[in-house]
Amino acid sequence: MLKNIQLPLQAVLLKFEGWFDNPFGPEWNPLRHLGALSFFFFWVVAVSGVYVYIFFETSVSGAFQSVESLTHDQPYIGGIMRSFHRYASDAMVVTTFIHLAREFVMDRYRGVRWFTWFTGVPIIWLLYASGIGGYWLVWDELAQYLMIASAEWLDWLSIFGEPLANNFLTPEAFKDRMFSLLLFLHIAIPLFLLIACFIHVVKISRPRINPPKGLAIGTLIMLTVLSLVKPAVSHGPANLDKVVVNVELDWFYAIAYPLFDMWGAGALWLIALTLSIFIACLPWMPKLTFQEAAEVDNLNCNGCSRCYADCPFGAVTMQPRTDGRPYPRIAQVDPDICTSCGICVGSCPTATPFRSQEMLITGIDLPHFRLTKLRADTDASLDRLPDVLPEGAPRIIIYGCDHGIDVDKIESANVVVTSLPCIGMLPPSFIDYILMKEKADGVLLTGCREGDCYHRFGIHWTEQRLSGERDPYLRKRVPKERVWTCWGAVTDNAKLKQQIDDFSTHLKNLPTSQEAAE
Amino acid sequence: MKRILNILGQGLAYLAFALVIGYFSSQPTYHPFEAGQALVKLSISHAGQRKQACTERAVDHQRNIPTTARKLMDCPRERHPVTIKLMIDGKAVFDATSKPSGLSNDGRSLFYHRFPVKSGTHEIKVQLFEAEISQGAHYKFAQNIELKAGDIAVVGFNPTAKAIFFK
Repeated sequence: MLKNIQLPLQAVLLKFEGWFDNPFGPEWNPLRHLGALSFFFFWVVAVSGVYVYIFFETSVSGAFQSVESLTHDQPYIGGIMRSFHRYASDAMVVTTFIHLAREFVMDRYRGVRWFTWFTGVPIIWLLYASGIGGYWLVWDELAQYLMIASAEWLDWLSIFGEPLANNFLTPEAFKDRMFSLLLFLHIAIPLFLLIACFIHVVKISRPRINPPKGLAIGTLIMLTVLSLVKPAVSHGPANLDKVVVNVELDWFYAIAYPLFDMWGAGALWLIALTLSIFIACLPWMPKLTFQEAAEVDNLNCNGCSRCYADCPFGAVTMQPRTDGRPYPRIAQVDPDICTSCGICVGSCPTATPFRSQEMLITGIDLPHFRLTKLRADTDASLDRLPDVLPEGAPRIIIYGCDHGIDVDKIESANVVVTSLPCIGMLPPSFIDYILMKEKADGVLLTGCREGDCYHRFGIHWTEQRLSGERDPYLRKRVPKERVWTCWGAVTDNAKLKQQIDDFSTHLKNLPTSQEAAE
Repeated sequence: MKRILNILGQGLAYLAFALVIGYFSSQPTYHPFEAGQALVKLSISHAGQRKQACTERAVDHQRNIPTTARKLMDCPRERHPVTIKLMIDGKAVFDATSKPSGLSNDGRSLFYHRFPVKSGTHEIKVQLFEAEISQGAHYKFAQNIELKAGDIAVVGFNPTAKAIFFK
């Protein structure tokens, strides 16, 4: 049922995302940095907010004038800062909601990711409270409309001794003290929002909270141009003796207000709470169960901490050793947050196929997909390759992953496939094992799209291991020209086929090992 | 050439984003209130009468209580709900009873309602019942008022003057 909803949406999203890959490149693709962009917009709002606050007068009579003066008397910076404050807030709503939708569609909110998803729900509430609170402070007609409607909405709960809306009955009823409270809320709630954002990412290892520099610069330029072309301006001053007839609503924040006018406070509370609870409970509808967690073999773990450094979810920790072995620490896996991706196996220096034993024992291994099985699968795939192929077609082995390009139907006379839970599980020694023994002419690694690994760092670590930047790296004796990568999503089969053709042609043109020796 | 195309592509993406943000941050215009109308707001916070009258405490009972805690009168806290009826131009537009606030039902009953009306002269009549309706209205108010388009008029209760007011 869930897959029936997710898969068609995934196809649309991946298509759309693919369009962005061309101009931005995988590294800058904004759709892969939505969370980081939201953080970035928060900082833009915070910095511009500090500037606006310097000139803001905290009083009923002075607020409107001070904002007007900021906008019109110093448009070169004050007007831009005010516009930054508004448009970055709006952009934050957009990136936050696309981020939420994307994580749902890509099924990255269940299992160990539940905490991150769950803590995202209060962020939405705090984001809205922060944004709406900002509009109140301008104390123009829009502020009047939003303030009274917000007060009436809150009053429906009957939790205040006096209706909040009474503070806005007449111009005399609205006091400077109330205004100070509104300002305090507009500073305090965003601070809580910031804390909530940090809680949101606290369980993620190496969270991306800053977008790439190029994307940040591009976004800033976009905000600047928008602020110059269409500066944020106020409505007429608020007048509590008069009703507000027309408002230019900020639909990103105020979309619920027309619903409030139509259906009333009770219905809106019902919608808001039901929707929030529904979204918060999605990780358990149904619950995602992973295979058994990775296991540490005490006798083979030397406490090198590579698995600790590579685990994308911080499931591996290093603990003091108590078994008397001559190493100070030992890896320990928290089964509750292990996704069984196998990246730790790929990082373990003991994970090598170059052993004569039938059972390969590694420092850390996956119970459901042991290194022994990976070697057996590799050998079985290689055995399917004929010794000699017509027209000198090169023999290629492809390592795929369960979340990237679908490699199941790609096998042909000269191409065999082995699939892993994540490409990051592949120890580079396997490539050495294949090429040095000339079991195949080339090795092609595939996985998810670049910068979008389902297990977060599988592709990144693999690239670094291949290029010798990260332990365990691919040995220098391995001919790098015989190892290619092709990163793509489930919908990118055509790309893989093209890559295989190109790789075949490339391999054909390479000298054989004999020729190279001569 | 590819680099230029990439920059152009990025520019287009940023432009699309800016257009979405720029437009929906203020458009389309929303009309929360019909032009040519005025608004009557009923906002009253008023405590109903106590459900039970205060009674004098028996002397024997007082003896068992420390001197500092002695009270001459025993006043149960619970209050009656308050009922308000509002008629505009002879038509009953509001007739509601509100429970006293507070866990012991001893606080004020709260009313806050809005009534859009056409601009012009209107006859406003308000009745407030502090206890059962059968006892009759404890406070009454009637006045003809002139409201211009967009005006807000408030019907409230002044606890000092002990009267319903209109502003």
